[in-house]
Amino acid sequence: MRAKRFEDADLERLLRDALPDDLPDEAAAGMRDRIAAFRTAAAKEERGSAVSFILARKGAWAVLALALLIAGALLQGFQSPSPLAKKIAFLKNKLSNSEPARPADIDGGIRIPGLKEG
Amino acid sequence: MGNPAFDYDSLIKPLEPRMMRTIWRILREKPAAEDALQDALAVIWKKRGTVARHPNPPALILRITIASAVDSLRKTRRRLRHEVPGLPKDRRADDSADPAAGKAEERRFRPAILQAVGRLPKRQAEAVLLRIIEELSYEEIARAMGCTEATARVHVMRGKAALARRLARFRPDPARQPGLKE
Repeated sequence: MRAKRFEDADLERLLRDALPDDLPDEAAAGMRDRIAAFRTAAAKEERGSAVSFILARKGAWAVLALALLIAGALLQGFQSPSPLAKKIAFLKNKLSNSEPARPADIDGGIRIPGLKEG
Repeated sequence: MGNPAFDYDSLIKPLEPRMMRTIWRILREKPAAEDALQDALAVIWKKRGTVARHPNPPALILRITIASAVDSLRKTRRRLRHEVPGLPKDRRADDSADPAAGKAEERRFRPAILQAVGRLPKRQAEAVLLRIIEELSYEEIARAMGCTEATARVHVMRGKAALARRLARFRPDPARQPGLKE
């Protein structure tokens, strides 16, 4: 167990010594430049994403409205008419196809068998 | 603002020097370190909602930073292996150096140490570096890695055991002189 503990401590010391905390100024400057570039890009992206979010929201509304229109048209096209609508259509059809009524038909339309005319 | 709770100046800015130093300690090459830092920042930015809501944002940020450095290390290791066919893995360091010769000598083992770290499974490498370089507690490591403290301990223990095996030849242990079997 003592040997194991020594091994752990030894390994940790080896790693810490081999990877010292000695960031050179030149490397630090390069990394700071990258941070600055990243922050600029992130700010741009954030602005862009805000605009694209608004545009996407408007677009979503447009698509939804269009979908509702299409759905309405399809529903009307495929739905079978109600019984009342059927009757109205039938009557309209009948009326448009029937002959116009003649005055004779109106006046003397009633004939009583055995009764002479005039 | 996608995530109003995320504030770069309060969350990242104070950690920038530490992130830079950590990446440098692991990679020790200017272009690689700059790229790794940029990658880490990009990941943090992508996960900014998670970072802002995290119970320990600095630990998570350091973990992402170390993960980025480890990724770079692993890529370098793969590239080196690819570029130098026939060169045995982990034998590019100066093995003839005397392990008892002090820190300067230990730094000569650095390539082998970095290669050994790069060969670890990613989570083990992250856990070991968080523990040894960042000196985080197991609780902090667990929170940063999204696992239990016991799992974090296992990652560190296994990583250290693997490193101890791979770096056995650099151990300044009188019982382990060159020529002796491990």
